[in-house]
Amino acid sequence: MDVIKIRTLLEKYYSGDTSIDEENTLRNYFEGEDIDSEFITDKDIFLYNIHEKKAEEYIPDLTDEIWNNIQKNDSGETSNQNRLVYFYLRIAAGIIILFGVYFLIQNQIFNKGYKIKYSDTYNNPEQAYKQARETLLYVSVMLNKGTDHMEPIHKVNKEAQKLNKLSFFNDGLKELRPIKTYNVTNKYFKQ
Amino acid sequence: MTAEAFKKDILPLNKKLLGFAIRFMKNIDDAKDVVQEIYVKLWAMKNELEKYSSVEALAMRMTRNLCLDKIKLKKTVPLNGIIREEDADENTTNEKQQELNIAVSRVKDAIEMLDEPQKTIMQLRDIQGYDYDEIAQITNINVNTIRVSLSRARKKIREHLLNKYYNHGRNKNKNSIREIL
Repeated sequence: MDVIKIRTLLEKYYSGDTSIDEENTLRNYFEGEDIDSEFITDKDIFLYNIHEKKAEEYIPDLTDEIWNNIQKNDSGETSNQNRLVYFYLRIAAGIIILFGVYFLIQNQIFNKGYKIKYSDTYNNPEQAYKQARETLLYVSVMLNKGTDHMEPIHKVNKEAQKLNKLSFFNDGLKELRPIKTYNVTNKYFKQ
Repeated sequence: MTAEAFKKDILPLNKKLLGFAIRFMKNIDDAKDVVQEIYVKLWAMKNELEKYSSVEALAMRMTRNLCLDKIKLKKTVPLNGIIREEDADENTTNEKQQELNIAVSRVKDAIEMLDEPQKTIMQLRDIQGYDYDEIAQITNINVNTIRVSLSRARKKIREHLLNKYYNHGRNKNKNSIREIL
């Protein structure tokens, strides 16, 4: 090939102005046998380019691996969705249990109140009144009996009043205080 | 986008993405992981893919970004790419092969020294054969800037090779001859 043509193409190549076709022309030239010694460094560069381009062809094709991986990841995504569903189900179950407990407690209290307020043991109000009166009378009689037994407490009170005289005893004790001075003089005597 | 369309249009890109990812990760297993991750992401956004003018450019851009993120996290990157390992196996078959191996490893080392956008741009253009518009979409850099950094990258590689492996004086002469012409 024409050395001058190669030279100008190389000029263009190093300025970044060659088209892909022109670069292919250069590659073809350097792939050949007769290369001018002038282009010895350029030859290295183009040999490298040619070699690497060929090496690209030996790069393994990963189509199947990639597709398997994508599908695996996809199923992973659905299991993620499932996890999300489970998560919400758990929350829902929690809420249901809370409501259940709330209603149960409320119901029990309500039922108790109902029994206290409205449960009737008698159908006839007069009979009920009688029974209530009897019961109350009975209670009051029994209560009076109980208080009768408490009467002797008055005696205790009377006797306790007598104990008031103890205050005189206190006065007497106060008068006895000067005895302390006697003790002091006694000390002096001992010395 | 339906699963069928995804299978037909997007899945076949995996070779390109893997080839691209290997350049960054230097390790086929890491690169495969990156591609798998990208496809999971693409699959997740399959309903929005129709909005993009070029899904390929989008996928390439995602791959590049993910690789750069992973490299940042890792910091240590093993030096030997898989392609070089292949070379080692084929070593010493004949003179021409040896010459090729030397050239490849020299240029590879030179490319390793390039800064990030330059490296990617050179890879996309010279190895994967994308045009400037596609590279602009992938890297999110405008076409003129791409042209300039590609030119700089190519010149840098050449300069590095000249200085390191070939006779200075002789090449300087050649440069001047080239400039005259």
